[in-house]
Amino acid sequence: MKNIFIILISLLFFVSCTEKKSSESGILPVDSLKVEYAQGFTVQYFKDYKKVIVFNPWAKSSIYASYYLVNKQNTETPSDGIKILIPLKSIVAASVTHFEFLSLLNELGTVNGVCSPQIIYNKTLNERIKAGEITDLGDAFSINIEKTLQLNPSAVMMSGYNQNDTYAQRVTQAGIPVLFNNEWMESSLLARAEWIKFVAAFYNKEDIADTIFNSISKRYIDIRTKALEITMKPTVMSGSNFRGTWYMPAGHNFMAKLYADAGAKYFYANDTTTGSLALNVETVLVNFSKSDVWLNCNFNSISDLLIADSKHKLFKPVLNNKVYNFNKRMLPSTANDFWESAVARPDLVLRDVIAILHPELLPNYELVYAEKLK
Amino acid sequence: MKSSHYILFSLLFVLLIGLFVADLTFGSIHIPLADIFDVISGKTVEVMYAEILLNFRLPKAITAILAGASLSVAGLMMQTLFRNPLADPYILGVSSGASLGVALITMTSVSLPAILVGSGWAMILAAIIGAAIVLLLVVGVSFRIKNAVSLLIVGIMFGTIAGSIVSILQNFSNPDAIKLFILWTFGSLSAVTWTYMQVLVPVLLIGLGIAFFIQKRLDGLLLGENYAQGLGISIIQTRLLIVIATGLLAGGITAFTGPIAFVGIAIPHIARGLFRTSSHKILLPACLLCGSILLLVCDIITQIPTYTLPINTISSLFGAPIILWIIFKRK
Repeated sequence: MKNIFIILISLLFFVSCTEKKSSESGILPVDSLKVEYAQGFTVQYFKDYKKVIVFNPWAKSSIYASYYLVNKQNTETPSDGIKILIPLKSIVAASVTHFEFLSLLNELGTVNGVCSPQIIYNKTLNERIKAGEITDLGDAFSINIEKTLQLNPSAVMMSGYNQNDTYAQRVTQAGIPVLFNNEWMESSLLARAEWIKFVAAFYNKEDIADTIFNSISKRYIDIRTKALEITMKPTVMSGSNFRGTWYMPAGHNFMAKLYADAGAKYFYANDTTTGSLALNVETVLVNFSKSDVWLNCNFNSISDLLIADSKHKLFKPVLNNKVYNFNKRMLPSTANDFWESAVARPDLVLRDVIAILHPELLPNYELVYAEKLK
Repeated sequence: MKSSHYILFSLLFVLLIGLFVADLTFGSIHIPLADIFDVISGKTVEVMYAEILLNFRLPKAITAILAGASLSVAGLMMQTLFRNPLADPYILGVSSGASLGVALITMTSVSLPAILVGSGWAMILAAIIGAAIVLLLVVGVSFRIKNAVSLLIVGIMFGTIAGSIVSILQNFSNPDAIKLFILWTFGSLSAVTWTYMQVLVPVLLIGLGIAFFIQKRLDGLLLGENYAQGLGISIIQTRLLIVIATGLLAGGITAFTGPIAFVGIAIPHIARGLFRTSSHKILLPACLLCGSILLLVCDIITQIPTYTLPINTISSLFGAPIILWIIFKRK
């Protein structure tokens, strides 16, 4: 009897201990940010801070980076993530794909460092670079560590890759947080554009980001619905031939999805890989020579295209003068806005493609990124 | 050892120390000399300066010395083994093996556990595994074939096979994956952090230890394998030790920094030219010093501009004229 009593007492003690422990570590988020398309991040709201998680795109359900965003420096945060004081006062944006997010959020002014300024299209940034207000930190794949530390921004935003980055490791160690914006690993244009919400979290501008993204996605979906209603689907070909190898978007590539959304018929639409397919010219001739339109052809004129390879004249779009590139907004420096602002504006990209394939849907439309080869 | 050798050794040593300090002083941002001494003596200065010096420039300068010393010594051993002035540490295919390992993880879906990728060990392990496989194949072959020239060809063939597989992978890869791989092939002294150093240093010390241990046998090999055998040197055993030491030195460095060309082939010639001897007792330490000096100079050149230059190309650009100068001066 006495033994049972002791066991009961100790059991009670044990239970009370574990309960207390769980209430300490199991703080639940009060709310979380609504993310519709993007798979790569989440934002959770706690009483004193926000937690932003970036998932590892290369390993399912593992975490690439965690951040605790606080409004006051003295707020205590758990140790499994980097504490960041927000709103950010200054930022290094290493990839051109991040500029339009900052621009839409009206935070371009906080950029004080960039990589390879010669490939930047954004007018405001180019003016500020000219005025000497923005530091050049070198190539985005080997960012200058010493200059970053000297600049001492509130954070560095860069693309994450499937390997450890010694730059990120060193800069973080020195107290400058590195924000991994993995927008480029998303598989659809809307999902890429939704990363505006990730950027906004660091500026306390989630509401604005939500409004902007909702209007962009609504415009995208509205025009897509119209395009998909049309039964006549023109066939498209894409990419260009480089010394005998033709790189075509794979079925799960965002380009292939874009063509599908624009109401086009694409030969590799049912392919299940991502990235590009390296094809030989013979295969392309067999499957694509009778296409209606040639999109994303990286040449500026039909004559250049024929000089590069006379076999190009075997394709119907070349004869019918229906070849388009995405080089309309391009500077002599080769900076191309299609790789820059288009990331945040999939509605404009889709409108361009639909205007080319189904001109009756968008009468008097002026192309934004796409251009017909001269 | 002649007295002129002592003078040369002391001069080179002083130069090494001077360049080591210079490597800490110069970088893409300017840090006043006074602050550098404050950081080294442990006084409190600006945190950023301490961070740059202690966690960036210092490990980088030490890596330059380690890489220069290891690759030069490995190159000397290869030139002696094959009695061929064009042999270099990579001739056995270790760097091709390492690059195949790295290519597999950067350009295909072959992936190691995420914990390794996150901590940075994945690329290093892949390089080590790739280099080790090629090295084991070469070692295996070295038991079976009689003369060293065949071993040379076997090494080159293994290297070619690995290189071709890498090219095929590149053909099917996305630009970003290719760029990651290409950057690795450029070599980087700043990739070695203090954590990696703890693994790298023991590996290199074992390799260097073997090299110094067999210096008399290396002298014997210079006379030809038959003659060396007459002196009581076991050819098979010596060849094996040389291959293992070279594998540890060249494979170890390549795994952590990526390939660094030219040092291994050029420095033994520079050392022979300076010391005018073929005795390995002199040449081994001479290669060690000259190699470290060359890579420190190269590191200073690569680090000054904002757009960091690849160490692999600078070492060639800087080393080739030195060789030409030595050849013309000899005439």
